[in-house]
Amino acid sequence: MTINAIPGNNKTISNKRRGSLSLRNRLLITFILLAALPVLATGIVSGLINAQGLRNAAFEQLASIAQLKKNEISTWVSSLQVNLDLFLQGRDLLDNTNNILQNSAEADTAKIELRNKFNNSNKVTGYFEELFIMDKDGAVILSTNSSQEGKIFSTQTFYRQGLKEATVTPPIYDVALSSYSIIFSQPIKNKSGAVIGVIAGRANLAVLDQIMIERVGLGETGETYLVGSNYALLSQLRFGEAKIGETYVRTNGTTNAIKLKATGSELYSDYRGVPTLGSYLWVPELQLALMAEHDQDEALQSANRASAITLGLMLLTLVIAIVVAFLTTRSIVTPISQLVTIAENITTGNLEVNAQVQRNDEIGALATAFNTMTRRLRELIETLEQRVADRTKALATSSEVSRRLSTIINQKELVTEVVNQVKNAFGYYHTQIYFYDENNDNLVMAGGTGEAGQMMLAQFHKVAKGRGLVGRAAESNQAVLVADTEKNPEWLPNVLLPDTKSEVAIPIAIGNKVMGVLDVQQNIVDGLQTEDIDSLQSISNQIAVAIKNIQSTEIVAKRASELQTVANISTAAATIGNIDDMLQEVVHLTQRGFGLYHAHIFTYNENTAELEIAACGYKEGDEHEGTHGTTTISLDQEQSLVARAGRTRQAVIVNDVRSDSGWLPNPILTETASELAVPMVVGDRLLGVLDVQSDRVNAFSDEDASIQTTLASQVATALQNARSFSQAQQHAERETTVNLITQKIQNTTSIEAALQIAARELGHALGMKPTLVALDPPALVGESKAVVNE
Amino acid sequence: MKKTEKMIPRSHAIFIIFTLFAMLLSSCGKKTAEVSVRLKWTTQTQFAGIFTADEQGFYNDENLKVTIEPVDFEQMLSVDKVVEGKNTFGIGAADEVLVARSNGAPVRAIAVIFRISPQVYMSIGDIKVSKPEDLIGKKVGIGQGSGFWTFNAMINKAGIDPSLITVEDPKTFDTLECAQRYDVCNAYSTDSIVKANMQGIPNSAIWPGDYGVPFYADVVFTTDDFIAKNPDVVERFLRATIRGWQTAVENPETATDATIAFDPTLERDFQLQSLKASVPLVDTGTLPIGVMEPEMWQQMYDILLAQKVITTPFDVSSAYTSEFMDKINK
Repeated sequence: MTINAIPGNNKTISNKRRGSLSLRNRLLITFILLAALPVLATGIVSGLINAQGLRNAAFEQLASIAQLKKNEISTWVSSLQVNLDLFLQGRDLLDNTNNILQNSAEADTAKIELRNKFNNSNKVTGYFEELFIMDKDGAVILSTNSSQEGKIFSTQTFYRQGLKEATVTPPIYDVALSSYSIIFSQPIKNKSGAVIGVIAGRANLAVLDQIMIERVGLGETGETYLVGSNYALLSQLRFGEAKIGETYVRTNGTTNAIKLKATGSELYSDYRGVPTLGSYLWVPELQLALMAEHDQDEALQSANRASAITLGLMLLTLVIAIVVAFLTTRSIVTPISQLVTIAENITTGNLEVNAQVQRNDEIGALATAFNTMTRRLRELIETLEQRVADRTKALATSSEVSRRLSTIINQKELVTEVVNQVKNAFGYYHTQIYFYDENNDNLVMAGGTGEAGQMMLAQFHKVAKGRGLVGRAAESNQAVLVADTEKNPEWLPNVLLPDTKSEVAIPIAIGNKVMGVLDVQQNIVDGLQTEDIDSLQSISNQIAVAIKNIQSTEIVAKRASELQTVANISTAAATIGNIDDMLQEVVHLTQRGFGLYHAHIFTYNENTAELEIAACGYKEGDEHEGTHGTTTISLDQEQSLVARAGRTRQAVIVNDVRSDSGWLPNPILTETASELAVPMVVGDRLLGVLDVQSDRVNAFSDEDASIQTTLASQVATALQNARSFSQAQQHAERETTVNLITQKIQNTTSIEAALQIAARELGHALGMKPTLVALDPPALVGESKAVVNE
Repeated sequence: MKKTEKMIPRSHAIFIIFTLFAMLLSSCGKKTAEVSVRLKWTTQTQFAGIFTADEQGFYNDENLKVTIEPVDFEQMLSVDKVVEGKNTFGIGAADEVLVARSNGAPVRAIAVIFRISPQVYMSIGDIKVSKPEDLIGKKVGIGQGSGFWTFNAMINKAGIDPSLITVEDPKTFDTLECAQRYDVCNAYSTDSIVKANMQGIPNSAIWPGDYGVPFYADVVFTTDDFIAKNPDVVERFLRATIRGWQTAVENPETATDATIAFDPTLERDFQLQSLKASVPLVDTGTLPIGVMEPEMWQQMYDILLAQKVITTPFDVSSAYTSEFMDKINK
């Protein structure tokens, strides 16, 4: 036999399994998250802090480089201004300038001197590409570059401002020279302080380029360069094909530096579009922006390396976490999965599977428990199969018993049937049934199987209430089971049933009313168990109902019989004219018809107010049958049920006479156990009392009283009728006798004869032998005469 | 219920009124202005800023619809076109504006494009010229116009006797052809020097600006009336134009393409080289593009007066206004 899992349940479980993450995945995710989250959090936070710090450091480095270069530029500007100033300090400059301006004879010499002076200075310092002097109209009167002489810069700032003060121009483009120039200029004043011209120097921008090209601390991709306020490139770039004078650099960095004329650092795309860390400075004296840039990739290399290491460590930790999580999960889930497979096998009915116990931990314990469970389940199912078979048989038996019981109306037959049926169906060793006796004192065996049963039945085997299994079951109205009789000291052995090893006694009861006990015995230890009780109890209940039915049927039959008896008695009473005979017949029939111990009738003598015994009905064969003695009982007598019934005109029942104080024992009727006295009444007149007695206690019910009252009433009516008839007959006879005597007397002719006849006839009529008839008064007859009839 | 259906719910009505009002306001504030600009010459990168502004949508950004018209050879002076109201704005030489103003035309420059005039005196081959003195004894080909009086002004400033130099009208616009017949020819650096360089012809030139005759070349101008009535349009047009020029000087390739878009027959390489040669004249590094200096105007006026190009003196400051450049650079 296989037990299939319930499909519905199975579906629900598998649906749930599909709807949620498997244990494996949950464990895996949990382990990985537990390991990964702190690693990620720590890694990311430290990485960010690290990167930010290194980025800031890179920016600071750029800013300090830019600042250093700006300082260099400032120094350079100062140096050039100082240099120009030094020329002005020299007295020869003014003299020579004056000579040139005045175009004096020494003008040429002056030019040569000044050119030499300027060239010598430039050779040493390298500050200026060209030094020149302009007159008050802006015309170049002398230049270290002779091709420049004659040019007029009247509209140029360096000239106009130079007339007033020491000036530095921003980088301006010189078309003729095809280059940007920064021009330093100062007024040349004569001794009286009047401006006679302007000395100007075109700065050597190679120096600026040099300052910018210096790349200490800028790595492979770092650079610094200058951009004019028009975004034009003013110094060389490291990358691309930039050309000073043509290339413009418009980046976020240059825009901020030029528009805001500010100093700052930020991340932006440089002129090549490469992400770069830039630091910019505005150089106000030259109106240009100094840019220091470092490719982000390189500048943040250390930051990136740190991030990469952090990331690598994170990944490594993550991988280790995943591997460990995977292994741990597998070590947990695989055995569980195996157990699940086993469980699923079990659900499909395969109980032959066994889990492998490989470990000593909880999983191992679970596997062991699983195996135990499977084994137990296997055993359970095997015994269950047996039990189901037993149960089925029990139910069939119960059903059969029930079916049979419904057809049996005889208690004895029923008992015999049941015990045999139960014994055979269940293969019991012995089955028997006990019923309470009438006094509910003992449980009398009503039937049992086999020879032992017959013998016990023949022996009127009985068990006292409360004794042994049977007695206890009856008393407690509970099934009593002794699975192993040898181990139960209270168990009473029966020599007729020597092989009994287990026994169960089941009360046969309806509600609280116990009628008897169904007792079953088995010849093996534990042959009877709790399971047997259920089916036996069911059978026992059916027995109880059947017995009850039978009893009800018997009662109905009894009542019918009793009523028939009443009718018979009534008929007899009505047909028997002689009162004594009639009463005798009534008590006789009553005793016989109702199966009583005794029945008698007392008639009531109104004159003496006594109840006189009129007829007695003894048990068949009793020596006293046909006699009734002369007992009289005063109607007033207390200690008499008969008198009480007469007095009260009510039926009196004493179902246990010995315990009734108002009961008067009769020495002849020794076996009387219960007594019923009913008054015989016609109208208001008490005619007597019908008294019936039983040798059983509790023999009379109210119904019995009712029946006997009916009977008494019928008998009373018959008695009344009989008495009336008897009186009427006497009266008629008397009339006839009187008439006859009268006739006879009339027929006489003499007084004597008349008296003689009168005496004879009256004596005869009255049944008196000596009869005296006398005439009085004598006057009537003359003399008194008396006739005696003897 | 029909009545209700026909009625516009109050909230809807308010919304519609609000929308109409908003549209009215926006049309007042951002009314698309249709203007035209007359170029000084044919389509070329000399006007790259304007083409760039148009191509890059800078005019559009300013809600302007600009018609760009090249020179009309029937009426060559852009000043005349603007004065006559045929064009809103004009690109012309600063001296043309001064002359017109002197003649009573109500034109006014609003920005300078070529801060340094490309007009030079050029020679090719073995003849090297770099300063006025180099012209002595030379045969110089100069036509009528600014080249002529600029030359005279320069010679005058340099204190050279004009009789020492032979000046003739070469009767040609082609400088290189002129230069083959003359020692020195009047030329535009952005044209002739570029062409000579492209052809590998050795050349040299005298820049009059270096010798006391500095002139603005191309300026943007309009009429006093238009300035008075539409200062906002003037400002917007100028802002977009300057932005176009900034873009052009920084991105000559883009600007060249923008120019060629207007005239696909143009030779790209030359236009690009010409523009590159123009960049230092437009963006000199001294001042932001477009910004004019009163001293320059005064000097130009003085020169023109001295050269009798202008015969009727007037207040030179009426010939230009820095109002709009100041606003733009604010």
